[in-house]
Amino acid sequence: MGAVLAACIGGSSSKRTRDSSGGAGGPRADAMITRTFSSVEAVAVVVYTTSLDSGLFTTPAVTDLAERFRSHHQEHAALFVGTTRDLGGAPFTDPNPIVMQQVQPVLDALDDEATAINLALDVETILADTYQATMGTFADKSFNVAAMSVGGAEARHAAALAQALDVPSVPQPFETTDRAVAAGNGV
Amino acid sequence: MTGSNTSGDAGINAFAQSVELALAQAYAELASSGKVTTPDAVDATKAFAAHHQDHAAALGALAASRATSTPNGRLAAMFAVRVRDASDERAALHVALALENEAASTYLFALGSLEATAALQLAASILPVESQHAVVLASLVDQAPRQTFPAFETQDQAVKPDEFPAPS
Repeated sequence: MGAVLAACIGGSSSKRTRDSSGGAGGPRADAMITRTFSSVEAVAVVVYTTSLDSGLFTTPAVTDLAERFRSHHQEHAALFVGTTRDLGGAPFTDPNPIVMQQVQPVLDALDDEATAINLALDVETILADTYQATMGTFADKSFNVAAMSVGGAEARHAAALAQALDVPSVPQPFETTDRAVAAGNGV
Repeated sequence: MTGSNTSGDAGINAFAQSVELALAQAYAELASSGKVTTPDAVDATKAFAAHHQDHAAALGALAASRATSTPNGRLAAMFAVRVRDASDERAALHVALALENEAASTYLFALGSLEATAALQLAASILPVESQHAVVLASLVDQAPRQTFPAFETQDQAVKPDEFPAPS
């Protein structure tokens, strides 16, 4: 499942190389990034809602985490919808269509708690990578802090889900951006 | 790597390096204290100590001439007291948990000051790992999810260079 999603998104660390911080695009470029953020947060909300509503999470502790994490993603999405508006952009409230093209078949095939947790872990990893990949690309550098205040929270989610699957929670000393959604992709 | 020679970034990277070295030292003291004995806890703390050494090395590379091989003195002393005062494994793991949350918070603080893309990316690649360390330690002490999973990371627990200056 991981490879399926990993193949889709099109963002990678090679797409974020710049030789100085601060994107040149100004508020419009920043709004494109925040639209991307809200779009991937909306994907996470769909994934958790579908699994919760279908009763796939059967372990009470996992259900509690899923409800908590969904709530976080709703908060994150609201933050970036509002930020996009503040930047003069059109808020993007739908799930990212390119990510959903890859997620939906997996979502439709979920049949137990393990597969549901695995998908949630995939999505959390993609989100964490997406936030991290934007470092140095914002015109407004204060967004570096805002983005990673969310990216760090997503990384915590991923660690907890990995624990539930009994796979390594902190697999490497440095987080990568291998699975990031490139800014503007799908929005 | 452009921009990493700016004095501001180099100083912040050197500071973060000294923090990482203090964290690694705290884990070494934790190990030698004999307070952590459960296999899962031993494995986790060993792995995290190694991660902090890796972080220190990477930060030192960016700090260049400002790099240090010395743990942050005031921080190391504070951590040592905490480790020494921990009465048992659970208390010792709570100490480690606090350190990791402080580390994550410190990187978020640093991201507000760093300029060069390479420095921003390195800090952003370390912050999530410290956060994940915290999750593992929180599970080992059965901390409530409400405390373990904030909706947003904050700078509230950041260790700051004006209070804990890097070794010169």
